[in-house]
Order: sequence, then structure tokens, then C-alpha cells
Amino acid sequence: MAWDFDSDRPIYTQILEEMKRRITTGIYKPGSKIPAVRELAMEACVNPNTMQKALSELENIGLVESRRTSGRFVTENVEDIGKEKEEIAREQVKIFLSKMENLGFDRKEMISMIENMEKEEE
Amino acid sequence: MQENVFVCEKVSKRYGSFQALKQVSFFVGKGKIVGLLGPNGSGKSTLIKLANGLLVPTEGNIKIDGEPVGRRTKSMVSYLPERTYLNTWMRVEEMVEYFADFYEDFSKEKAYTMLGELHIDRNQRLSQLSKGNREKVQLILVMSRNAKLYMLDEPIGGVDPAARDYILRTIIGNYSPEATVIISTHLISDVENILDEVVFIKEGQLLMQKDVESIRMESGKSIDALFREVFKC
Amino acid sequence: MLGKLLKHDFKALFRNYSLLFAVLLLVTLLYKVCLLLPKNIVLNFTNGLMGALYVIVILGCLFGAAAINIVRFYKNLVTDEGYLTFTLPVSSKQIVASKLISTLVMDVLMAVAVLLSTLVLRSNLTVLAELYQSIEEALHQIASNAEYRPLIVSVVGYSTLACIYTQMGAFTAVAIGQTNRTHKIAAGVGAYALIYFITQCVMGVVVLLWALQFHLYNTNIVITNFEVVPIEIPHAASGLFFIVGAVVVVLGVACFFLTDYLFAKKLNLE
Repeated sequence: MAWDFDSDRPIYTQILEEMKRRITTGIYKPGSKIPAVRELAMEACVNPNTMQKALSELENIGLVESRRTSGRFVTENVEDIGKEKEEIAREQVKIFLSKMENLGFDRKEMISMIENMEKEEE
Repeated sequence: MQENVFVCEKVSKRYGSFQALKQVSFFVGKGKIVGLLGPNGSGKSTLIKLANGLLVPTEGNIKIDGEPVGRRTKSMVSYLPERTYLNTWMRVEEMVEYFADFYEDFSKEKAYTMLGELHIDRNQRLSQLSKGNREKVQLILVMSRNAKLYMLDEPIGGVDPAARDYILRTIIGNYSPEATVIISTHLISDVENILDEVVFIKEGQLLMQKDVESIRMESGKSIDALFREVFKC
Repeated sequence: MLGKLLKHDFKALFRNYSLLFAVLLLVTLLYKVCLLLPKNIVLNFTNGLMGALYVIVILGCLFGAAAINIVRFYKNLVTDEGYLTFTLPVSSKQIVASKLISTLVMDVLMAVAVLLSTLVLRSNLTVLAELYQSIEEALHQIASNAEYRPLIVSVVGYSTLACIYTQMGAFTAVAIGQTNRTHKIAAGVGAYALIYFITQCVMGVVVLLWALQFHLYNTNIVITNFEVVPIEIPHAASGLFFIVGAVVVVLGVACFFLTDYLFAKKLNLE
């Protein structure tokens, strides 16, 4: 299945987001091999050059390492993955906070709403 | 070693009083997938025919991998026209043999593998196949070549969405840093994710050539949206 | 590459010719059987019909061959198939040469087939038997008389070259016709008429010039005066046939290069 992309944002950015998601949520486990550029490009249905750029960036930020003949592997450094996960989470929280602020909620109201919804689900 | 697989220099083509192409100049590097976009009658097909030696320019010249268009470049270019151009009385198998005979870079295994994936019977005559399957066969034959330049004229126009995905995947899968693909199409939103660059042609003139990611980054629009803007009726 | 083109051209032509060959074979055998059966009133009638059918089939085969040749040429080069043919890594000279050679070979095969067919029926049809008899007598006379040889060689040579030229001319007409955007076939027919007309004019001039030599150099041999020693006419006539043979070669070569030029530079596929 082709990945779902927003057509008005650069694909490169969206690929990076998706790959980070896969790594931080454990779809690609630490130390495991990720598919080759061509395979990923075909799965995502994107230009291989763009996919290549994104994977290179993942290498740059240390989430992925390249072993010359064997391909690309997720880092075994669980701490780094954890940090990335936290960053992504923080981003999501920021977005949530700003949206709620736009609706007129303050922090206290947000927290009590979260707690109430949790109770309702139990 | 040529860096640019396709070079077009001040190419003009005139039919009587009608100017189909006006001083078009651009080049495409190796390993790129480029979209040639423009409305009907903008000159895209003319440009593609010129690149394949089916027409001769009134002015200017086209070079493929440094060589002027001619017999040698025909062995480097794999062309998919917009129409059914195969001998319809031949069987699929015979068509594969035909391509294998004339093109050194043609791979029979690749062709039969793809035919199998699409469940096309190699013993059937092309005239017996549905239009969609005929177009798939044409595409398979073109993509089974290991060419320097692929020129695809409306490759996904007449097929269903599932086949479209297969075709796009095949184009991606065929990718090599030594090969270039030029796709001429109207179905921009289906294709834009696989493009490196786009070339916009309007009324025989080159409007712009830009890489896709820059366009999205700078304008915050999809190529499809930009196209609609640029070519507003 | 030319070899590959030939292989595929023969394949394509054979596919169409095989029907003609099959019909010819069938009708020949059928007719032969009818002729061998003991005569009675009904059979006389059917033999008459078979005779007519046979002639139709023979004519059909000969015209059919010519039709197949030109239609295949047109379809393979000027219609959508042209997109395949003209993007092959071959020169247009090779494409035209392959078409010319393959059609000529098939023409020969068809002629041989027709000939064989008549030989099969020869012993049962007096018309054919007498025809072959006189041909054999003529050939015998020619073989024994050495003076006739140059004439025979030149006539046979010229006829062969003329057949080749006719085929080439038809192809050239198609090449000219396809340059017209809207009426390719009509333009092709017109072009053929033009080529035919030009050929006739050239031939007329050549023959006239040839004939003039007798008037200029030897006032004893006036064109209408046939009181000439027999040995001189065959000799002079063979000279004529050699000359027009050469003219046909020149015209044929010109047609070939014109066709090549038109397909290489003025191709007009749509």
C-alpha cells in the first residue's frame, strides 16, 4: 500500500516523519535491518532519490546506520530512539496545547478534561 | 561521460503555418524521473516524437547521451507511445521475441515475470486482449529494456487504479542512477510523488523546469494545484 | 539488423500469403480430380465451372499477392505500427530494403506456385498442354540458335528489373502519399499515377532516342521497313532491352533513395 502523503508538503519531510514513527513505535526494532531504498520507495510509491535523501538524513541524526555491504540498520542505541520518541511526543503535545488554547481552555481545564475522559473510558 | 542524458537546444518545430514548438531548451540529468506536463496540444507529444526520430526539428537539435537523434540513440531510448502500436496480430510471446531480437538491452525474464504478475497469457493474440491488458503489455515491453532514457507518453491514462499503482511501482523499481525517465501526462496528482522534476510546456514554449520538492516547499502547493493555476483556462 | 527485419517481414507476409497458397492448392487439386473423373454430362458442366473458378483463383492469387505486399507495407510503416517500426534501431534504408526483398521473394514464390499449379493440370487441359508445347518448341529454337541469346537475356533481364521497379514504385508512392496530412491513401494513389506517368515519359524518350540511331546512321533501315537481314533485328532489339533495363535500374535506385529520404525526414505518423 502506498503511504499516505499530503501533496502540498515536501515528500522528503513526510518520509522522515513516517520513518521516525516506525522506529520510535518499534515497527522497525532497534538493530534490525530496514528495507533497501528501492523497496521502500516502491512500497511508499515515491521517487527513489527522495527516499534516499530521507534515509541519509536518518543516518545523519543517528537513528539509522549504514553498514557498507549489508545495508541500513536501525541504531541499537535505545536511548537515542527514546529521545526521538520524546521529541515527537513533545511536538504532539505542543500542537494539542495550542489547539486547546485557541478553543479557550486553560491548563487546569485541559488536565481535568483529560482525567474525566480517562475515567469515562474505564 | 555524459551527465545529461537528454539535451534539447533551441528546438522549434513548424507544421506549415502552425508552430508546435518554439525554441525549447532544457536538459535532464541521469537518474532523474521527470514529468513533462502541459495541456493537450502544448507540444509535449511533438517533443517526444522529435526525441525518437519520428520527426525532424525545423530548428535546433536534440541529443541523447551526447549523440544526435538517430539510429544509435534509438537503441538507447525506450519509448512508450500513447496508442496501441504493436502488431495486433502477433501473440504476446511473439512480441517478446520481436523486442528481444531488435533490442540488446531487452530482458525476456523480466518481461515474462511481469506478464505473469499481471496474469497475462503469453499465448494470446494481442487483438484478443482487452485494451487495458494491451496497454499493460506495451508498458511491460518498454520497461523490460535496460535503456538510458525511457520516454513514456501517458503511461497510466487508460488503466484502472490498481494497474496504475503497479505501473508506478514498476517505474520506481526500474530506477537506476544511470537511467532517466521522462513521463508525459495529464494525471499529475497520481504521478507527482514519483517525480524528481517537472517541466511545464505551454503552447510550444518551455514555461518552467523545477524540482518537485522545491515547489512544494516554496509554494506550499502540490504540483497538481500549481498546474491548475498555471494553466488556468 | 537487416536479417532480423527480413525474418519478421517474411513471417508477416507468409501469414497472409498462406491463405492464398492454401486456396490455390485446394482448387488445383479439386480441379484435377474433376478432370480425372470419367466424362458425363454433369461433369462437363462442373468442369466448365471449375475452369472459371480456377481462372478466378489464379488471378486472385496474383492480384492478392500484390495487394498483400502494398497493404502490409502501408500498415507496418504508415499506421500506428509505424511507431514501432520507426523507433527500432535500424536505418530507414534497411527498413525499405527489407520490405522490397521480402515482397519480391514472395512474388517469386507465388509465381512458382501458380506455375506448378498449371503443370499439375497440364496433362488434363488441352489449352495448357498446347501452351506448354509451344513454349517448349520456342525454347528449343532459342537454345539452338546462338544469335537469339542476347535478346533472350536482355528481355528476361529487363522484365525482372521492371517487376522489381514496379514494386519499388508502389512503395515510393506510399512514402509520398503519407506526407499528406489528411488523405494519405488518395495521395498515394495519385503519387503512383505520377510515378507511372514519369516512367512512361522517360521510357518513351529513351526508346525514341534509340530508334533515332537507325535513321541517323543507317538510312537503309527505316523504322517501318522490315526487309532487313533477320540477324540484325534481334541484335538491335537486345541493345534496346539492355538500355531500358539500365534506365529502369536508375529509376529504381532513385525511387529507393527518395523513399528512404521521405521516411527518414518527412515521416508523418498520426
